[in-house]
Amino acid sequence: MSGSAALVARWFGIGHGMQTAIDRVEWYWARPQVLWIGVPLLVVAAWWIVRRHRQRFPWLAPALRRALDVCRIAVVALFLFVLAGPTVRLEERIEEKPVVALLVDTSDSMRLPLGRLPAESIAAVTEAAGLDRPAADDAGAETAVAQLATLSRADFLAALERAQSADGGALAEMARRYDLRRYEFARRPRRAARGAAEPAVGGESGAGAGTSSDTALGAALQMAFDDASDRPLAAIVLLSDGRSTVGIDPLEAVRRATDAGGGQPPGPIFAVPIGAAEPPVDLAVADVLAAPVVALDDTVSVVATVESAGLAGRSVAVELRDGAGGLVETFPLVLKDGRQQAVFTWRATSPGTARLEVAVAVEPEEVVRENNAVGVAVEVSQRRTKVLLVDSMPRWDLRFIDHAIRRDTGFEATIMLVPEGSAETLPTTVEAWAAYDLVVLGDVPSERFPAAGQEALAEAVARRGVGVVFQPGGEHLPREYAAAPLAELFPVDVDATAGAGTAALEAPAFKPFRMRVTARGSMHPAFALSGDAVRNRAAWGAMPSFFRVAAATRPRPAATVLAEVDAPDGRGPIVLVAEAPVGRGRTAWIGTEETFRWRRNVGDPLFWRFWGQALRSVARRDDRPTDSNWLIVAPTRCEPDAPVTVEVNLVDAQGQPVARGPQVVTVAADGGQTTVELQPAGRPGLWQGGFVPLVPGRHAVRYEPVVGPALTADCLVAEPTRERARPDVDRDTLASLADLSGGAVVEVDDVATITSRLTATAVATKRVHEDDVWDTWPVLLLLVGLYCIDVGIRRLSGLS
Amino acid sequence: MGERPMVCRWGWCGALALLLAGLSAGGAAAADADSAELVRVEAAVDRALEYLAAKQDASGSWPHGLSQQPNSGIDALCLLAFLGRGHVPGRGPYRETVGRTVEALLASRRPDDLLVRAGGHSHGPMYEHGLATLALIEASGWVTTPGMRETCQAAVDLIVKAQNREGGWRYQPKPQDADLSVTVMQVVALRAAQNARLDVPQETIDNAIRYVKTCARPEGGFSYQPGQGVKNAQSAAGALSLALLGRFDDPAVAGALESLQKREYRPQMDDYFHYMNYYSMQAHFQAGERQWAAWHPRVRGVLLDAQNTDGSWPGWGEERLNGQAKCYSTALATMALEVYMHYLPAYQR
Repeated sequence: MSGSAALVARWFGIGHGMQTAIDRVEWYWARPQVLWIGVPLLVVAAWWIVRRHRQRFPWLAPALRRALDVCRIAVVALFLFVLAGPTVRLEERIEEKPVVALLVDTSDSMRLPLGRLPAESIAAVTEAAGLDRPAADDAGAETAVAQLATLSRADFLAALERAQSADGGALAEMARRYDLRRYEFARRPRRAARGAAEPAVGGESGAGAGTSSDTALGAALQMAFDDASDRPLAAIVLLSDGRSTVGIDPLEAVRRATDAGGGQPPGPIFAVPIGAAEPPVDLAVADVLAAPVVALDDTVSVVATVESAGLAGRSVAVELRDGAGGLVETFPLVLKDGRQQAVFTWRATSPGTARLEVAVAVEPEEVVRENNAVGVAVEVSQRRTKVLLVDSMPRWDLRFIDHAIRRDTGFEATIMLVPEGSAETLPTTVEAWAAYDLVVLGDVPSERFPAAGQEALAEAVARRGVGVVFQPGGEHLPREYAAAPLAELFPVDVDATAGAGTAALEAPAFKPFRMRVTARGSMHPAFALSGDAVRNRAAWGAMPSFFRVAAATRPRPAATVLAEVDAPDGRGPIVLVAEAPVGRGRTAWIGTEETFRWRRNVGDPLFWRFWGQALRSVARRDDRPTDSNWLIVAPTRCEPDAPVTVEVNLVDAQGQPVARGPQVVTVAADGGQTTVELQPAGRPGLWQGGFVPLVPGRHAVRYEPVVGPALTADCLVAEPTRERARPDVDRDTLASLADLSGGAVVEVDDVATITSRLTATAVATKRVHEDDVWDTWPVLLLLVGLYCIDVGIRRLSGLS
Repeated sequence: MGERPMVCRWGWCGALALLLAGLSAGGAAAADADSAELVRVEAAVDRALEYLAAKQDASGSWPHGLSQQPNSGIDALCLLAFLGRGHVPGRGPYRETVGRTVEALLASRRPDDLLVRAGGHSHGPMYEHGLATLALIEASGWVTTPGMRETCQAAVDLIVKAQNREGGWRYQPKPQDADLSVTVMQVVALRAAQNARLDVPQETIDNAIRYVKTCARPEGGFSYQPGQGVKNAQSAAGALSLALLGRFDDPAVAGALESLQKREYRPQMDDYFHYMNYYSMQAHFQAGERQWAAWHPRVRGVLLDAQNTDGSWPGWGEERLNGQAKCYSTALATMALEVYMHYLPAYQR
């Protein structure tokens, strides 16, 4: 359409979208019946106007009279035009292409060598990746296998992506038929422009990706699912070694997306393993497990898991060393492929934190040499923790705890059963409560626990540092304590009206509760299985489901949620495990009486691991003075991005607690210096805050008090080594993702077949554009113009 | 007392080492054979419980081959099969099934505190009483019905009163003669009672140990009554009794388990094969990892292969106890497999 025509069209309300498709624009009347009736009436009205003008103005010049006739008739015609609703319409057909998400692993583990691929498929593999084809004999294939074996996974992936993006390649075909979206993921996922970058291995290709010493495969899948929520997801093509070391478990990400889709998988995942099926030659200390807290002079076991591949039959010495590097014990091992245990005995001879390290010498052929040693910290306590367990009846959890706690030399336990109607009552004085380091309150009837006793316990917690663990039941706690002094100690708010007044929620039999450990929980001592938060979360997330939880709707201020479950009605999460500081003490909430289910298939280890660690983390610790300045940083060693807590006790020159803020500490690291503002924490003089270190290195925390010397503490931040802890390709995860989503594992030489497996087709939608032609300035101007001419003629002719 | 901390400490260290080893492997090696077998075990148990749930009548009882009347012992075994899978009263898909039987067992209490269903066939009431006491004590961790704990204590008191001078029990609730088969059921109930912090006199425990040891045979294994020959089922019962009574390191335990392990494991090895399986699995588990590893794969293999498509198990030598439905054999086979799940507090190691 020419410029002037476009201008006119615009005047008449025809937008740019319609102008570009003017040949398909249709004219129609919104109210055609007005025309059917109006046009005959207009003819009659025109005849009547002409006749009347001729009768009334015979003296008027015929030209003027005809002009007057035209004006009047035109005005009426224009009204008719407007009433009939002239409209232009453009019907558009829009085809929405389904999405194909291409997920490209750029993590550190992709720097590892590709490994030896099968000789029989080497020709097809090199062709798929656009590499030089090997000679068609055995020697040629062997040479190509050897050459590819040393190529990094990342370089191979880049070649593969480049080749498949060229004309005729699978990715090029997908881009033609689908909305191909490319994502890169390492510690964090990010959407990347197609063809904009070679996969940036090692250093991250963008601010969003963070450092690459971790792989967030689950988060990448979640991002792809979320981005494609507005249209069909034809497939996810995953180019990865399958390792996932941080964030949500990839299988859980698929499960959640499936749940959100009403049981329908979000789209098939075609997982292309990058790396040889045969694991690289490696020897690693995969895990070291030891009781986190032991009593002084205890002899404990330290169990190391050694994992090896390609070194079967070789003899190695696994060593346990103490913090000073001294050799404690050597465990000889004849390697066989897979996992083996090395069990050491260690005696806790001095109180404090003992740092132990299990190491095995590096073998010359090893591909990864950073995974041959793992450290573990053991807290050696000088005295046993005194625990009082109270319940109304011997619930199963109590029966199992009873057994396990008697075996644990770090505890000295007393058990009280106070059934309803019994004569037993709980202690009523602060002193009596303070005789214990920890009180575990089960489903205790309020009639056996008078308000005076509750107040005394609250005071013992706040002033004497006693810890309290609540494990509610279905009868008494928390229902009977909604307005009681004890409720002040709960780390959560409880909905006492839930579950028909039981203050508990029941899951449907077909959809039981499943525990979800939060990010904070995964690093909390109660849930610590290893130093690896991802493994911690995955292990606890796989615990058996259960049917009843206390209705803890939200955490109290200052409380930390460690685990939660989804409410049965879908209205947000229910707090399952939480803890909170209360004055000098701590309280914790374990909202289910079905932790016995964690014994499934293994017995005590996970059950008591949780309970032992939870009890220890809440119990009163060695009393810290309240009348002097001190500063604590926890943890003292961590990874980038992990939260670090700073706790400071402050007193003034008179020894009185400093209650006025703000209080600020400085944190100095290689990257510079920042400040952290502290908040009051439960009692006068105690201040808490936190920071998240982003870079590795020593982080020096410093506070300058008004009186006395500066307070300092360090947190050593180190990059995790878990990316290289398992150098083999995790085909199990890739296969599980494919199975769960209805996709498949596709070998590199079969990449071209992915396109033919995609079944999603474009969705066509019809969109109708309508513009009113009468509701425009030209029509209005025409009307006004006609009216003015009419009035002008009448005035000039001396008519009324 | 001076030795006890050392035993606890080293026992704990050993258990920690072995169990953490299992934990560590379990966390990462999902594909190992044991994990796959455990999935099969769980599936088999679930099918069996479906079968049992379908066979339960409205009064909370299960059919058996001894008569047309309800039997507290059979009902208790079936209830324990559900509890052993974590289907506890008031929770989950079998809450009604489990709840009905708990109510029925509670209602079965007679004026003399014997837990035997009125009009029910009694194959020696102390068999039924021992099993019913065990089942009720285990269920008492979940049931807040008034009188539950009192009923359990009364049932335990009856067991205490019925112990004879030698320390054993027999069919009737009177301190007369004794046999190991009835005794083991009372021993397990007493162990559960201790776990649930009910009152159990130490003298009763000491006397029970004395009686069980008199049934031990010098060649290894246990007899039905002192002086008789070794029986496989009684070897399992004797070993479990001593382990639950705290004598897990008694040479008679190892001797009995080794005598069992020497036998060719097959359904024809004992007339009471299911009974033997139930006790032998528990006894081997209580005896520690080495004994456990030597035994459980055999039981698992035979039971998984023999399960009927409807979830039940054949009765083999105990078919007469089954009758038309196979509830007795299915409950015992289920409980044998549920040792893997570690859910019943009475059997914790």
